[in-house]
Amino acid sequence: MQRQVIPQGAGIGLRFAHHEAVVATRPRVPWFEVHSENYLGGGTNLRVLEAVRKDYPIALHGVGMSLGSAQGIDVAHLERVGALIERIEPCLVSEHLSWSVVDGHYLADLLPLPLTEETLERLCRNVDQAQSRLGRQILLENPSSYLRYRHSSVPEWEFLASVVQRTGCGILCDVNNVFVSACNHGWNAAAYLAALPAHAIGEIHLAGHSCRRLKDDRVIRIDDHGGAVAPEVWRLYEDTLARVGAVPTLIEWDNNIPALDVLLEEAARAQVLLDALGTDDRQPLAA
Amino acid sequence: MTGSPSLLEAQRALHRAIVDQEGGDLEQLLASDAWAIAGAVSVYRNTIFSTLTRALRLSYPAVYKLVGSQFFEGAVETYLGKHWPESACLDDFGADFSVFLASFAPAGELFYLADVARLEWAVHQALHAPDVPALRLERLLQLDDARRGAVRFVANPSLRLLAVGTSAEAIWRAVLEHDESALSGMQIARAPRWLIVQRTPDGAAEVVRAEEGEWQLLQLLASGVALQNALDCACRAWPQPAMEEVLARHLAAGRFTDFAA
Repeated sequence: MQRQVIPQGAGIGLRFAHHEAVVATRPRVPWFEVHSENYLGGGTNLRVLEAVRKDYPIALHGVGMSLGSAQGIDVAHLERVGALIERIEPCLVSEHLSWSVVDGHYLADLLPLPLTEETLERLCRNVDQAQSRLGRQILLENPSSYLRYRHSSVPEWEFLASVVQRTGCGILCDVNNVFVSACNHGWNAAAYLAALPAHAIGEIHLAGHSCRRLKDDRVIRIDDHGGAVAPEVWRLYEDTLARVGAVPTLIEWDNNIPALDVLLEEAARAQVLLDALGTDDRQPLAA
Repeated sequence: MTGSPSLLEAQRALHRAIVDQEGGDLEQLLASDAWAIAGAVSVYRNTIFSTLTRALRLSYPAVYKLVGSQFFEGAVETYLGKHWPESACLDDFGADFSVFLASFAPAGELFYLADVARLEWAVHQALHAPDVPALRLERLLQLDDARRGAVRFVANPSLRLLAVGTSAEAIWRAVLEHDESALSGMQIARAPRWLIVQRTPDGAAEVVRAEEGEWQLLQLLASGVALQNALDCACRAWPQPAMEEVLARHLAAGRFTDFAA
């Protein structure tokens, strides 16, 4: 069966707070993305998703696969995600360049990896296993991070490109994450984005972040998805579109979730930038 | 840590720093000074603890309202000391929170709290159970009496049968319905209650108080005891003139989805 393709427009992350409003109003938005882990059970939430998918393309975005786990990925979790994919038939499936499980403990966050040859080997094996079970390509999202390991030997953008090259996965380019990590680690965000293989970028994420002042007065940027997209991130997004062309773009907002209209306005702003690129002959990544 | 740590060593070290707050070896591992490491680890710790607290608050909304946010967060922090999620599906996290609350000394005076938590977990499970159509009763009626007596039912995945020792159901209902007058006038009983929890076709959780006999009949049937044996057993232990009528009511309510004849 030919899978539906995500339109090269600006969608929004569908969260429980907006279930009723989306079902009732069927807003004008080209697609939705949901967190896979929120729909692994049955009941009302899954029913809402099944109703929404009849009218909109859906992307599944995982936060719990822990593709960077040294001890391998949780097969039971992979099976549950696989069953959800078979049920929802999403246009895109994505996960993160991060880890969250060690010794059977799930740490509910996306933790940074040491970027070494050992990690690259392990991560590629885990991505291969996931893509093989799911029977499709996944997109891997670049992380936001607040820590770096002393023994990391590969720049993050090169690491990501190597994973793409070795596994055939695509990239979910989170422009806010690039900005947050670049600020926290003293990287050049524009150079990071320019170094990513353009052909592999199958989706872009935009989100808000916050700043926290540490005890010694330094500032750390936190990827909390709790506000509007920052002006600097919008500028990076424009530059990225100019380089890679129109790519399906998603507005994420997970904390302090505002009214649906606010998200739709953010998506409309991204849509204007996408439309400004004109007709694009870029081929979507194979789902 | 000597030489470059392996991926597993690095992950265990960060796990210890975040969960156990043992960050002694992080300065050898991470490319920052102590202040920056402490700040970053606290960001990860806050995110993880707030995510898990939110997950428990969503599963235990009445417990949260009964004890207030500060008490709840303190209880969760203690709970996390020995109960860590094993799966990324946080709907599965917190199954034994009621057991923890039963022995959580600061909640000792709230003797009904663990029962309310048990009820909330049953409701939570009912709400997230797989969707399976209810048994069509015509299938049962097509069997002759002997075969009908031998059938073993398959329980609806959303059915939960719960025996509690307090009036937890009345407290739970009054708290979630913001029924202040019911709460203020409530005499909280220490007496057995027999509860049936199930998701309704419109997706809500229904909590029904049952007689002990009908609850035990459902318990027998849900555990796979053959119909006639279950009826005989239930009638002997809890004589009721109309156990068949009771059964018919529960069959009509979709307590079962299938049977093996």
